[in-house]
Amino acid sequence: MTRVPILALVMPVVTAMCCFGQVENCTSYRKGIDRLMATDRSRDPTSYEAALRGLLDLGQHERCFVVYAAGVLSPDPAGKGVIEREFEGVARRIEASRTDKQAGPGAGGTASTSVVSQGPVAKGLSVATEYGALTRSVNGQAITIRGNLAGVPSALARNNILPYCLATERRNGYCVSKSVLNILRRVSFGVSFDASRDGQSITGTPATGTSGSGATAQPVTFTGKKREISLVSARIEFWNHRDVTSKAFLDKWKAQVGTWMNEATGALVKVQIYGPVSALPEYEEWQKRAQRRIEAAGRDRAAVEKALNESLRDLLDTVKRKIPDLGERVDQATAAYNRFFIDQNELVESLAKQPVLAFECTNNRPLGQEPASTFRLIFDLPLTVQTRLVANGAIEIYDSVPKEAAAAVKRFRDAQFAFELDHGLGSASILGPATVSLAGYYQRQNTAALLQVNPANPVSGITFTGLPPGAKTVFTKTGNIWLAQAKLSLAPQGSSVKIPLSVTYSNRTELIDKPTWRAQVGVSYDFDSLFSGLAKQ
Amino acid sequence: MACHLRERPHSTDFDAIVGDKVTLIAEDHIGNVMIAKAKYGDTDLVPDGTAVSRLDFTVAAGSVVMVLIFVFSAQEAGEGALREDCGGGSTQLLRDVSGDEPKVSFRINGKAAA
Repeated sequence: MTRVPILALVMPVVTAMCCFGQVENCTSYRKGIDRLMATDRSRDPTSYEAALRGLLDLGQHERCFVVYAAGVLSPDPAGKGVIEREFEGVARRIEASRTDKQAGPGAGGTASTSVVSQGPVAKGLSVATEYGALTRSVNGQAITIRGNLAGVPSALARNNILPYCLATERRNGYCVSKSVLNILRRVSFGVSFDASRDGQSITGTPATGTSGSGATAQPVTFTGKKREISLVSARIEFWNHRDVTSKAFLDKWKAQVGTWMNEATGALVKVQIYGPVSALPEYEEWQKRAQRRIEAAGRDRAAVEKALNESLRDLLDTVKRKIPDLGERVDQATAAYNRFFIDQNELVESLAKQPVLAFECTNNRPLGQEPASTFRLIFDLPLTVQTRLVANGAIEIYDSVPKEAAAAVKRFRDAQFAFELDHGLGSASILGPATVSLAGYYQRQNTAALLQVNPANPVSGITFTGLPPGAKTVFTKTGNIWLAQAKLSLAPQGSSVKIPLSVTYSNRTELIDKPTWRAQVGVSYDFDSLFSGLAKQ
Repeated sequence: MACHLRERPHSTDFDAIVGDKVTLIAEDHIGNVMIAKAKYGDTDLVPDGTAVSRLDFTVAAGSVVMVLIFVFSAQEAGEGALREDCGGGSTQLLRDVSGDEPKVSFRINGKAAA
């Protein structure tokens, strides 16, 4: 599998232009220079000296020092520009760390066990496998990949494949910023693969007359078209009111931040740069020299910036000699800072979600049926920390109607409405170890669902009555379909696996005109962990 | 009560008396600020998987590095301060902290009591 398309997709949306190796572009150095420029040495020498000492204290500017060092230490043997080198570096790291990513179908899919499409989508990519169908009459096993556009760049940044840049900082080359991730996170996608299409199976109406004609029952089987993609979907969040200041949000944040950030902060505390550098006798001497150099620059900001740049270059030259693995430490620190900012942003995003209004477009390609497209509005309303209500409204239209069925079938296939009430059993939040859900679904079948059948290849036990010899299309009944579902989703702590178990009662399905009970089980897995294998080369 | 950490003249390090018990607190300015990791020498002061807004440690002999990792609910825009709780309701400012520099380090020179 070539990586070029991935790069082509990812790069344009995560790039930010500009300037490694210029300290004034890094926030804490810029603030330090601001502080220094705001004090008048002649009037308040104490404050001036304190501001100057603070500016030259590596312990207060370690991240900026790492950014600066990464730019300066980056080799440039071919005399290439920084942007070109960064792109090549990213490409090389991706090429060198092959991984293939893979997340259930939305409501009403061929093998969907959910009746309601949820508001939020997996933070990165998830894979789910589910067996069954709720409103369709044909069971299937679907493997669904779900994710949002932010998943790939954030995973790449977390693993130091792409650099993370603060919103206020411009850098040379390619980097992922919080604002870009927040936009990308609103757009999500899903693809379902039907794993059971080679071995078609069908459940159907028992041999009771449907037409009242008294015709002989005729066994019929469906013939799958071996299209393995059974569903594709795209979703955009129109409205996602973020609350990051309320007491409820802050309480949740305080309760979860320690656990959520444990690995990222652990990696950050582990990287030692300040300790060994500040232990060097040359460090104190450097501070004195740098103080004199900056003092000499006076009130000229450009001169102060130049003096700081030159001083940091001196420090790097010294430290490189004394700490031979400095480059490695800088790489580790860059990776740790990337991961810290990405994880911190994802925690806030996961907790800050308030009512979400989303629009989803799905192309459904069920086995033995005509492809149809669904246009769905999704409203996700958190009621309490542990309880939320999700409501969907949708219409489904056939992509096209076969000529032979054109007289009897309209393109407007059906309208759907569904709701789901979720309650987390964990003490902290809905993201706790288990969730119980109650859902209701109503579908108005406006026109017949079309089933393609193969009279020449019947399956024992499947019979249609009143079907003319040689018939290839069966028209199902229109009318009202409703169902109710109870579901328990288990999410073992510390694991990325989620196991939904559900029981569903429906008054009928599209094909079977009688009440039905179904039990479903599924498994989903958050595949973000795959990216942990992507290490900087 | 008096503060235990004293800023060294012409330095950003601190002096303290060996054996003194020091309490550090994370003060919120913009959003919430908490300490997720704190390493004093080889000692972890914050239990794994937790974040705290105050912590205690006992001053050790010699020049020992204190490394603190702060987490911010306002992310990069977050701001706060690291202060020493000097008792009796008084505190002293040790460092301003902000979301763009989540790691703060300094040295504490532990000296024997005179």
